[in-house]
Amino acid sequence: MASTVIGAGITIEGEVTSDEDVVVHGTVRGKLSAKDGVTVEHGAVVEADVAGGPVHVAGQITGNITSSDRVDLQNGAKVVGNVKATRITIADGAQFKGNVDMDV
Amino acid sequence: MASAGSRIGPSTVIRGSIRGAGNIELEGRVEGTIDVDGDVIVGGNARIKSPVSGGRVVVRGAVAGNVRGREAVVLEDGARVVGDLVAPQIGIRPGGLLRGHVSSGDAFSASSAATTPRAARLPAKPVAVTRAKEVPPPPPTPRKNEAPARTQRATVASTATSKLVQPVASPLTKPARSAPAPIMPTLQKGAKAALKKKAR
Repeated sequence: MASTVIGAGITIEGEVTSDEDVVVHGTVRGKLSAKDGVTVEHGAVVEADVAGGPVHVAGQITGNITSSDRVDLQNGAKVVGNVKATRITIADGAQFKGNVDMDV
Repeated sequence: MASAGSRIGPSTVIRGSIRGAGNIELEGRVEGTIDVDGDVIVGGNARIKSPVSGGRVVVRGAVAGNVRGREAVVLEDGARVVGDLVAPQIGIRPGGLLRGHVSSGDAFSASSAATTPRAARLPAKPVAVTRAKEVPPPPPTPRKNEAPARTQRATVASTATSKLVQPVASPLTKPARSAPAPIMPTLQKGAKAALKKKAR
C-alpha cells in the first residue's frame, strides 16, 4: 500500500525525501519530508524534522512537524517539538510537548 | 517480503546511511551507505550510489558501489553495477552488466581481499593511465629515432674529421711515407749515375 516503508529494525541516518507515502516502523535521524502522507507507527523513533501531507503519529517524534494537511497524534504517541498544520488532533494517551501553529 | 521488511519507493530519495536488521527492497534512489542484516533487493528502477551490504543481495537495477553479500550476490537481468562484488556465492544472470572485481568463496578471505584489491586496484588504474600517457610518446620515439640519426650523422662527421686529422697527426702514416723513402736510397739512381760518371 504505502510506497516507502522503513522497517522495524532499520535505522536511517540522513535525509529522506519522497513524493509518496512514507511509513516508519524503525528509526530515522536527520530529515524526513514527503509530499504525501507520513505515518510514524508504534515503536518507531523519529529524531528529525518531519514535513508532509497528513501526518499520523503513534510512535515517538523529536523534532518539528510541518504538515500541509492534518496531524494526528494517536494513543501512545510521544512528540517533542512544534507542530504546524491546518488541523491537529491529539488523542487521549498521546504525549505532546511543544507549540501548535494553526492557520487561524 | 516488502510487508515484512522495508521498501524504498521509486520516488523516494535517501541521502545517508541505511542500517539495521530485516529485509529491504530498494526501488528509489539512495546515496550513502546500505548495510542490512537481511536480504537486499535492488529493483529495476533503483539508482543506488552507495556500497550495498546484506545477507543475500539481488540486483536488478543500477548500483554504483561495492556490493557485498554474506550469503550471496545475484545480478539479474537489468542489473548495472559499477563496483566490486564480494560474496560466498555470486551469480550473474544474462543481461546483468558489471564493471568491477568479483571475489567469491570464503567470506573472510573475500572480505579481506575486498579491501586489498580495491587499494591495489586504485593505484593500478593510475598506472594504466600513466601507461596510456606513455603510449602517446611513441610519436616521440620517432623523434628518438631521428635523434640517434642526428647523432650518427654527427659521429660520421666526427669520424670524417678524425680521418682527416689522423693522417696528419698519426705517427703510423709518417713512417708509411718515410718507408718508401728508404727504398729510394737503396736504389740510389743518382748514386749509380755518379758511380758511372766516376767510372767513366
